[in-house]
Amino acid sequence: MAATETGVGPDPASGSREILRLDRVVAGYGSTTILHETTVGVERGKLTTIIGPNGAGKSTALKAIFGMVKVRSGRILFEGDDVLDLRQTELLDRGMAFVPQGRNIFPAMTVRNNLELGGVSLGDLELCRSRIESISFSLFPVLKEKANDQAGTLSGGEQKMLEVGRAMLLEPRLLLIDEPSIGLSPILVKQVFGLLQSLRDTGVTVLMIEQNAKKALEISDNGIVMQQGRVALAETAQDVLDHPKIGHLFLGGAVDLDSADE
Amino acid sequence: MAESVNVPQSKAADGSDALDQPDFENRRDKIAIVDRGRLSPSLIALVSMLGAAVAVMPVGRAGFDGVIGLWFLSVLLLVGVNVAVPLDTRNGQMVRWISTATFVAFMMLFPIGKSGATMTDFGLFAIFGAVVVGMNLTQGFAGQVSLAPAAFLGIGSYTSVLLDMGEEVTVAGVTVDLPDLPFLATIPIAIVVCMLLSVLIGFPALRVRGPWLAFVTLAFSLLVFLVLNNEDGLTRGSRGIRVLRNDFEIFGIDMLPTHNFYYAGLFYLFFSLTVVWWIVRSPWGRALKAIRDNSGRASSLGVDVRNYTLLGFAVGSGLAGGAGALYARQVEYIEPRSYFVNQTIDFFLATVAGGLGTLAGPLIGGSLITLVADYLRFTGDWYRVWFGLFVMVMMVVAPEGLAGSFNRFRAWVQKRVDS
Amino acid sequence: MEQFLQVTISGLATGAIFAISAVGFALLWQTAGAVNFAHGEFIMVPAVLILALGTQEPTVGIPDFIPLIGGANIGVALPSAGLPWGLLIGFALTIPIAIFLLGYLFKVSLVDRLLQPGGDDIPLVIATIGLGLFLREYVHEAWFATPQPFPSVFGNGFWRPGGVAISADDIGIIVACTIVIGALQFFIKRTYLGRQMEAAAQNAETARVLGIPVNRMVLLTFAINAVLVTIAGLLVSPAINARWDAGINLGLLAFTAAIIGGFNQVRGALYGGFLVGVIQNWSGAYLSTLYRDAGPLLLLILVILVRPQGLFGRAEERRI
Repeated sequence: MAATETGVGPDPASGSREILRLDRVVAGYGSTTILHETTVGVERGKLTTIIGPNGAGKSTALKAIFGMVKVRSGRILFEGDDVLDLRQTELLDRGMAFVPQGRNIFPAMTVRNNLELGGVSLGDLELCRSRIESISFSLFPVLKEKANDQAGTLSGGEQKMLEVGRAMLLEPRLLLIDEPSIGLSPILVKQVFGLLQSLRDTGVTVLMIEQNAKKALEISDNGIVMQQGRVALAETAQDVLDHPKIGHLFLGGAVDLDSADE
Repeated sequence: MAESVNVPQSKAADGSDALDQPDFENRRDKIAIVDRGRLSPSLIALVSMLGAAVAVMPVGRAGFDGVIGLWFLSVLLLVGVNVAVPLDTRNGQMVRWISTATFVAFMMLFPIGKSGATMTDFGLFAIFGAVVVGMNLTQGFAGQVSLAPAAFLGIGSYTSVLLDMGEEVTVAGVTVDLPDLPFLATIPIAIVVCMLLSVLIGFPALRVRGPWLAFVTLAFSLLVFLVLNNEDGLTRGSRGIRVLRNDFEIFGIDMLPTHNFYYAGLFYLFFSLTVVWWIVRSPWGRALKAIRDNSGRASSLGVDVRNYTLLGFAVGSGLAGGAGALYARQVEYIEPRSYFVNQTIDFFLATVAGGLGTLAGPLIGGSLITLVADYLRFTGDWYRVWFGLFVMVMMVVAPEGLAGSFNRFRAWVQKRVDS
Repeated sequence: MEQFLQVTISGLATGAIFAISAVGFALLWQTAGAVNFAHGEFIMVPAVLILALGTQEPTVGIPDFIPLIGGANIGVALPSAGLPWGLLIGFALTIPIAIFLLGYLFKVSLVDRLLQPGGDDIPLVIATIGLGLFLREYVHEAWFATPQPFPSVFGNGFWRPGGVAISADDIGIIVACTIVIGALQFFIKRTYLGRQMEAAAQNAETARVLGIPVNRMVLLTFAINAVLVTIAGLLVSPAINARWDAGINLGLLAFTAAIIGGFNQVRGALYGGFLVGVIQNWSGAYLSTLYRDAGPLLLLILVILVRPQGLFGRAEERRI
């Protein structure tokens, strides 16, 4: 049993195993509710993928965790503490980082300046610069080569690297990443997935959303299936892949992606 | 008087509020197929008596002197009945019609026994009211800010007056003999000229989302002022033109007495209200509402946002132009200063304060900048300071304006009554 | 030729002031999404404050209705040893007042309340038009109704190299504005804090994810705008006098400059400002003095028609 769907409130036994827990979270935009009492836990040190159809609330869940969407009720526990209503700087300080969907760079600034903006909450530019050398550039040597280029001139894959390299500056223990493979070529998707696996191997918990469900689950430890704002299934990735109904529901759609990829 | 077209108030203080508010339109549709109740003769008798009292009481008096307390009481009672009786019942409809009739009757009977000065004020109220009705169409229904109503008022005034004088004018060295048209014929010309000009400047401004129309109309206002002020050969510049109502008849009625001319303005006000009322009920009006509430969704539903908005702006400007023709005769003297940005700001405040997207709003707003402002003259211009403050505070606490707040109050009361 | 040079130089001087005003206007629009229709009054009010605090002009003392100190004259008039010290002291005193009133108070009482993320910008447009009226009429009623002479910080000197009359005021304005805008550009592009501000302006959501204090950056923008309008008020008033109704024209020409140049960047607003100033002076000199303002306004309508992102703006930088 990996990510747990059952159980309300923090289970004292799993407190150390679980890095994050959503407890009956209700959230949405304006008057529309997207998350309906979403309850799920995320295991420490594992790579967990959230899958589900469009509009299932995957992105909203990640945004709710990172305080980008107003949570109406419920709790979000990070390492046992309620982090609801914390500001992003505080979440970053506690060891969480978020790479949202799409293009999150400042195209008119240089790669280096983009990276430096990831270290604002360090409060020390020199420390930030040394971390760029030791973390971002060692993760992605290509960023060092292009440090003085405008970020807008980078390729799609390099821009994603820039975003991940920037998020890793603060040495987060939990990395939230929304659809990292969007718009990338199959080879780059493989690279990004490999990168996330190696981050996991260094002890970072990764929680990602993927449209490319089958491939993502294959490289993940755990899988969470969301449907209509609720968690339909939270098992090991293998169990999710083997689940007859899931295969029917989502992975059938992934066949297309597969053929497009190879 | 407390009559208004109920539209969903989109400009609520915060996003969620807008969606929490009762959707009047839907509510009426829903209840229309259910029970609308039976007419209550005693209620109708009561309302009719109140209406008659409101309309007749000031007749033959110099002002409201002596009856002011009673008159206010009657108005308040009438408003109270409007609040208490749900609009979607037969009784509610009847109360509304009687209230509207009361307003019309009051305006028609009011001049009897009044001084010329009072009627000048009321004439101005009718004419400026019509401008605000037009502006409300642009702003309240089409959701665009126009900062040129005074400029269109001016264009309307000068167009009408110049075409009515039969003199020769010189523009840029070219001398033209202008015809001497009858006054009534110049009104539609003024309206059409303003509509054409507004299409010309609205077309580029409405190409992109954002408050561009506000910028363009502000620039246009200044350009119009420059032309009016500087084209001496055409407009006589800052010296202005005297427009006397001597030898001036409409349908054989002598327009020289202020009391008679007041009715010309009043009919124009009714005409403007009818035009906007008709537009709001037409498919076009529904499209405008859809655009105002959610332009993205409206365009995805196939509504041509730009053309509809442009038409709303054009009709609003046209109404201001026609009002300009009447305004010139009301004040009997036109000069460029009367049509400067200050005047636009007045119209703008009236539109906003009265209540966007209602029919009663412009009447309330129009009275604020004419009758109420005249009453507040003793403060110097301090009342304008409070006006500015009032608009800011209102946008924060009650962005739907006075008429909109009234609708909200009524909805609140009726919710209480229902439960 | 002499006349052309003369007209162009004074056009550049006016343009420099428009540029400073336009930059502030564009910054607020870009960073906070706030379209400020009271921008012209935001220039007029500091000018009045400078006069009230920095000179002994009796008509612009403290308004009478303020208890205890009403009617008092607190203007400083030190012996002018080369520099107009009173004016500079008034300016220094006005800056913090402007930052508080036109920056902080404006943001928390109007902008924050009326501008919902993803919401309509019209309510704020309406409220700022109300604010403009309030400030204009307030100055008119509480302070003075007739234009008040406003001394120039750069004095009234003239040079006549080769028959071209160049005023010290014009040159001073051009130099001062270039320095101010250069410093602002340096701050935004070359400093860490400035880049955080720029990041918050370009993509607030990403900035928030990175832990950039977006709200504080927006507040910083409002403060910078307050400083810029105070400088603009100081520099523009000698030419037009301190007057309660100066804001209508100033505001419109600042929007015009920002929109013509491409409002989403300092560079665009800068070029737009100079362009508007020069075109205004050329139209005044060569077409008709009566139509000085017509040139820029026609250009504004033309730009919105054919190139809404502005002459120097790039379409992909458009956020609004």
